[in-house]
Amino acid sequence: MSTLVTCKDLTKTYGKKPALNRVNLEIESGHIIGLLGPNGSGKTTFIKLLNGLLTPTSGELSVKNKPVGIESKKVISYLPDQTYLNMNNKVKDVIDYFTAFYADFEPKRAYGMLESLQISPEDRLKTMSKGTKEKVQLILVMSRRAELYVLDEPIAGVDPAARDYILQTILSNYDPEASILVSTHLISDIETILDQVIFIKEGEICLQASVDDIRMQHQKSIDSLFREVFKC
Amino acid sequence: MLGKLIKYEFKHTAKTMFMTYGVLAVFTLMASVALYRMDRGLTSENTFAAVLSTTMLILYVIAIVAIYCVDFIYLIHHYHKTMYSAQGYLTHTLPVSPAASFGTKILVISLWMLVSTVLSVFSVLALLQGGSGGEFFHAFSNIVWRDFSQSSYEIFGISGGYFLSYSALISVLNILLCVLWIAASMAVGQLFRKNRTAYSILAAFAFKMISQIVSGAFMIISGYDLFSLLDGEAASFMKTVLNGTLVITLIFLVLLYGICIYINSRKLNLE
Repeated sequence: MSTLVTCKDLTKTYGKKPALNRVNLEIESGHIIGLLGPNGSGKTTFIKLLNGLLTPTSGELSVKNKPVGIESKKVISYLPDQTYLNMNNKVKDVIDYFTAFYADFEPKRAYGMLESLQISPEDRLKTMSKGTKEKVQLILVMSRRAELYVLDEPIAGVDPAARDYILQTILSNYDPEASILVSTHLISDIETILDQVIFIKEGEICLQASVDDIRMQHQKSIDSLFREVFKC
Repeated sequence: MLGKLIKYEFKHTAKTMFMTYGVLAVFTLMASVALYRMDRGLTSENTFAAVLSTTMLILYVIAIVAIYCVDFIYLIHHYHKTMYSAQGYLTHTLPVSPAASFGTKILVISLWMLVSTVLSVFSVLALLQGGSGGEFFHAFSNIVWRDFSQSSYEIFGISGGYFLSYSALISVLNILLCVLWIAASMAVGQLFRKNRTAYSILAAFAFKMISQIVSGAFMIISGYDLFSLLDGEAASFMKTVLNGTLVITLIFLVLLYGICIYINSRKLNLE
């Protein structure tokens, strides 16, 4: 097991307001980690920093002991919380694009998943429903042999049946040596697949522990503990 | 990777650009026919035909300007969409350097705008050639070019060919400068969390003002004097202006490119 992500005093402020405040944490390989917190707690800010879409105000953030950059982008497969593909493209065009730029992308795997979902590669993204678009994006992300999958709200905004498919896709397509960081506030839906959790509140990490330890110590499910910690 | 970036950037923009070029070709053809008919007096006795031909020529003028504007606006919109909007998530998570990613977009936009400029010029020449029944180039080469070449030497102290080459170079650099000016303004605008468009416009004004001040200062330093122009010293003065303009343009290109690269690699702030 090796350390994939290291944060030291990582801070990001918008104006004077801190979105992340002196965050210290490590993410190791071989885990499915839930990044849990209410809306506006700093989950997406952390994920954007990890993917180089924002720059930290202060502190350090490294992936495999190197600062965020070309090398980290080669090993991180990222699913944003919004549709980020060109809607005029056909699915097969996007697969071509991913094949061209990501050395670890496996088009066969992507086409296989599309077939199992009866999504035609000839279809244009703009003709698809929101749920289907999200499935296509997830297929693209999970078709990479990445070392870290970063999934920002992968099950928000889709129906329960689609949620099951998404979780099943995540579980059946990642290398056990890799890690998955899933950000969500729909804890009960993903609780069963997590083996670690990070609770984030007002830009600060308030808990990082394994799911088993939490259940042993608190005698509660993650969902119940979350409701307790983040009680309004 | 750079080759792939360029290939896909062209691929993603080609359809719209070729569509506008197709529209330009259709308007050029129709206006050429209208001009030819007017030139040969085929519309003089038919009011409807005369009105139709005149309307066609007016529409052509509107179309050529509109198509050029549409091309530019489309490319800038595409740039913004793929750099700072939702598709920016994909652009900035590709395993390529920010300089490669940004440079490719600027290169492709500039090349498309160069093609649009060249096609617009060709369109006008084709219109004149077609409208004159194939006599325009013959007349141009015999009369206009001789006069132009002579005037160029008298005013600028350089030959017509040299002047045209210089103008072509400055046009290419100005296209690049205009694209970088807008890109740098957008880069500054995205530093802010709210009212990004307003800040981009403010930044554009600020960059423009700085360039005007520097150009004005250059004119003063280079000894701009209206009386010396009237005294027949225009040629040597204009040579200084031409060279100075080239140097100032190059300096601004480097500065704007540097601003864009710095912000996109060190201060990226995607919504």
